[in-house]
Amino acid sequence: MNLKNNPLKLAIRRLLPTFAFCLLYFSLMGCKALQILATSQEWSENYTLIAGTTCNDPAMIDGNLETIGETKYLEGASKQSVRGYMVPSEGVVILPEPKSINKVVIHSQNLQAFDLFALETNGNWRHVQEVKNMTERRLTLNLRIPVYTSGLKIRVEKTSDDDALRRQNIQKIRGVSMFSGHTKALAKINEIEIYGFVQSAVE
Amino acid sequence: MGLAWIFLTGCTILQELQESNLKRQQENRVRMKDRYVTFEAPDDTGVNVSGDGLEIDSTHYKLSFGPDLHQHPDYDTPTERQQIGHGSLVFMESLYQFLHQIFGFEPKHKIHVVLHDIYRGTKLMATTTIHAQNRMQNGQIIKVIQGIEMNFPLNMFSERPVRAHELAHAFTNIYLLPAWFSEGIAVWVEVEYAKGKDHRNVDLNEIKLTLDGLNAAQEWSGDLDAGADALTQWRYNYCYTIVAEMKDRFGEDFYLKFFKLMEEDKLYQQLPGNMPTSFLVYYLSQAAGEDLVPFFQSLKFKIQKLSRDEIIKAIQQANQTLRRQKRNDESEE
Repeated sequence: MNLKNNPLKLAIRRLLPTFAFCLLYFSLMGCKALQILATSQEWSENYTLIAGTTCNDPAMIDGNLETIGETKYLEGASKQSVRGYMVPSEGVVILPEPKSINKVVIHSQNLQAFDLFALETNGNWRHVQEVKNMTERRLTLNLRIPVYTSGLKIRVEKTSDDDALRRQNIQKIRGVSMFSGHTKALAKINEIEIYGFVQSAVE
Repeated sequence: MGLAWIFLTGCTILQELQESNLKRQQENRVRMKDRYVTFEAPDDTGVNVSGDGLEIDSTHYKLSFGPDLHQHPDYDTPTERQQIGHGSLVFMESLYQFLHQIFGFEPKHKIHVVLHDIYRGTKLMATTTIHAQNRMQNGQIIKVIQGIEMNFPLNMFSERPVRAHELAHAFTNIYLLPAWFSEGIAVWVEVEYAKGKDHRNVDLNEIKLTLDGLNAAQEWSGDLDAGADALTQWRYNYCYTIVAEMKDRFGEDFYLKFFKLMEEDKLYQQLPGNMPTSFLVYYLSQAAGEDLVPFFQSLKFKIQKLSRDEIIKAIQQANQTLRRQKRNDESEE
């Protein structure tokens, strides 16, 4: 048997460099994956306190729980119309750079239901989570899948002040509803906090 | 060799993709900040809150609550007033910085903000008043600003474009501007910076005339106490369009130049009454670097071309008349 011309050996010779390269690559990747798995998960600082973070009411990101900021009504629909009176309000936070976000904490006096959106790279807002029943003044949202984004938006669906505002601004005259102002109250938000994980290897 | 080439090319492509992605994200952030009019929290608002929460002070404002708010469910306890009031001033301080950047100057007085449930019998009217007094200084009568007061019903205070509109008045009305120009500037800030949707650009050639054949915008007193008339909305839109048109024609820094010229000259302080449009156009022309009298005349404004000497002479004559009247009043007493 002439081993020199053995096709199996030739094939092994040819594939050896590729195999060695792949082995090196996977071992390196494996190390990295192991390193990530071996890191302790420590919460980052509150990203909203980073210089350059902006909000449509800065009282919501001033780091002071004693100040109340308010969400703002969506602009667009004519104000003096039923549609204009029914628009929801929003709280928008823009970070100076994209961050991987794992947790959002909201301190509010009257917020009951809202939708959380994240800003995508194409400029669209992606729906992240719906909160239907916020009963406490402090709500912690632990995101199962981290969101990598530079902006978060809260669209207010319900507040505890809505009923009173509706009673004030909708009057029934001969069975016809007459609107004289907004029907959804602004959310009073003391603070929005945004956190990710800090990666530090376990010693 | 081939592998190295593929590796290097792959790296370059990845790097380019990453850079373009970062650029796109940066553009998106700027667009969103502009669209939602977001602000950074001010470093130090210098807020002092009174124990009963009825008076709150910050670096540039004093906030108080009208008597009809003391019974309001959202403001009837000191804690509520303190927390909402403090938060409102954080917002207003950010808005102040925003307008300071636009105009390049700031008022010297603290702005007194008064919140009401109902103001002047309505929830739909906010006002800004400049309190000025005539004083004798070196034999000349000059106007001295005593204070600036903004009054809002809560309903309007919650709207960012309205706050920006009124704050623009607080900044610029210290120059005792003609009403049409003052409203034009305020709507310009409201629409183009605070993204308000209540007003829009109109065609400058579609002029509404008074019975004297003059532009109805120039005759506007800006006072809404008597109620809005059929031309009110057009006047807001038209005055805004003139202000925006001049900025488009003469550049981003046009109004920075204009207010700087007025401030350096300080002639507005010596005017006996409100500023006439001819006086205003003198400064607008200076800032533009061209004579704007023909432009305003083409819009049917009643104005004349003034030189600085003519302005000073008119001021001196008016002040002489004022002094004579004052002497007569004193001798009668």
